[in-house]
Amino acid sequence: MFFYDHIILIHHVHAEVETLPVAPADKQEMIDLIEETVHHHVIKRILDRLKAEHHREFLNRFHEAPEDLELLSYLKKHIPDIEHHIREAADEVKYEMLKTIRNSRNLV
Amino acid sequence: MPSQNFRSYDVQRLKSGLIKRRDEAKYALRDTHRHARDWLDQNQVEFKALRQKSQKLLATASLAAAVLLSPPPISDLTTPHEIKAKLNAKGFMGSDELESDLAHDLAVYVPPIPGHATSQNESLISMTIQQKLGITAVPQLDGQRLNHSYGWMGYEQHLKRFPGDDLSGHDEEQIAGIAPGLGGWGYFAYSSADLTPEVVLKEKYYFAVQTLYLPHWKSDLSHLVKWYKHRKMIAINPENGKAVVGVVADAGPAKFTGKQFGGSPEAMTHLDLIHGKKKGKVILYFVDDPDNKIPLGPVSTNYQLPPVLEI
Repeated sequence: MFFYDHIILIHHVHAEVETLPVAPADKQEMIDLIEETVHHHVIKRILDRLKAEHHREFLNRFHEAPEDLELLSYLKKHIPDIEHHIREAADEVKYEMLKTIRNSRNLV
Repeated sequence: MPSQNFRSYDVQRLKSGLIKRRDEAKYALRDTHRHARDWLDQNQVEFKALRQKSQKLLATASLAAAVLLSPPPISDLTTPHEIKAKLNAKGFMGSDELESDLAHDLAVYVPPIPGHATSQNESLISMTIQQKLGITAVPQLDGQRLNHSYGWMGYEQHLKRFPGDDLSGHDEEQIAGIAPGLGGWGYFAYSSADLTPEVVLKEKYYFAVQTLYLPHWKSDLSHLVKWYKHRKMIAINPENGKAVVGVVADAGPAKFTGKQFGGSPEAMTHLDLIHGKKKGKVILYFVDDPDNKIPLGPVSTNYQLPPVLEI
């Protein structure tokens, strides 16, 4: 898991994929794509809010221990409401993901 | 080929859509933070490796390698601020906000004691769920109504999904244990080979309801057993607005317990009813979903999304 997983709660997007009439391998591939997309959004939002001078340190620490909750503490020192920003970024992309999936249903 | 048995569904189109979304996200990150891009390139950071590093099996794609792939049309990118503004304009809100909003609106309609709300309030509860979650939920469906649509829900154990199933195969909330007997509707699958993702979700998010106390249960047993089997329902904790869609998979609890419903470990966890005596009052309504479009699991979005196209 990543240090922000407990904040973003994308389970219902996974559940939406699970209900699709496709093979398990395809579901896994889709879930991978979704998780990676959310990850890019979250990292971008963090970097958007974090001063550039701290980017390298944050990225190094994340690379070393992606699951470390201390990363959240580190970010909070610089961005007090970072959890809100992470959740907001995830919510935006979750909506896009759900829209893409449901769009595909309607095209069947 | 993984999709050879699922030709009626356009898997490739959906994958293409998801890949497009991923690439947009990658390039948004890459173009906005060029120094971060340089760092990613230099360190060859892979998303998959990071996931593995953090002991999670999901996810495969490479972050650093992927950002170097052919770019999507950058002109298609929408800034987060623009997306947020558009989402707000369409009534979309984050999960926390959605839950507090739902709890606030339901508070005035729930009855003071287990049972049913007044007829008018039942309609208002249904309307609120429809508006906030985009789910058609009703206390009575096809002429069927439980003895309670609001009451105490208790924390249940896992259920055996197929012959030979044990606790080790359940990936969450193992602390709950597994019931020694079967659920009221038996196994979910004939064998482990039949354990589809849908079956997993049914056990993960199941409810126990008091069908045994229904007035016509014995006289109309055959019909009612079929009707209630894996019937989709939604449980909402009106205290916090948290909601879970699940299926009926067990009968109970007994009257002497003072509880009217049971909830699977995962459902109760999401409803935040795992403290103290591990029970709490919930609204439990049938989900009218003939096309099976509402997924099982926690609800943290409005499923009645705006028309597909672009927002």
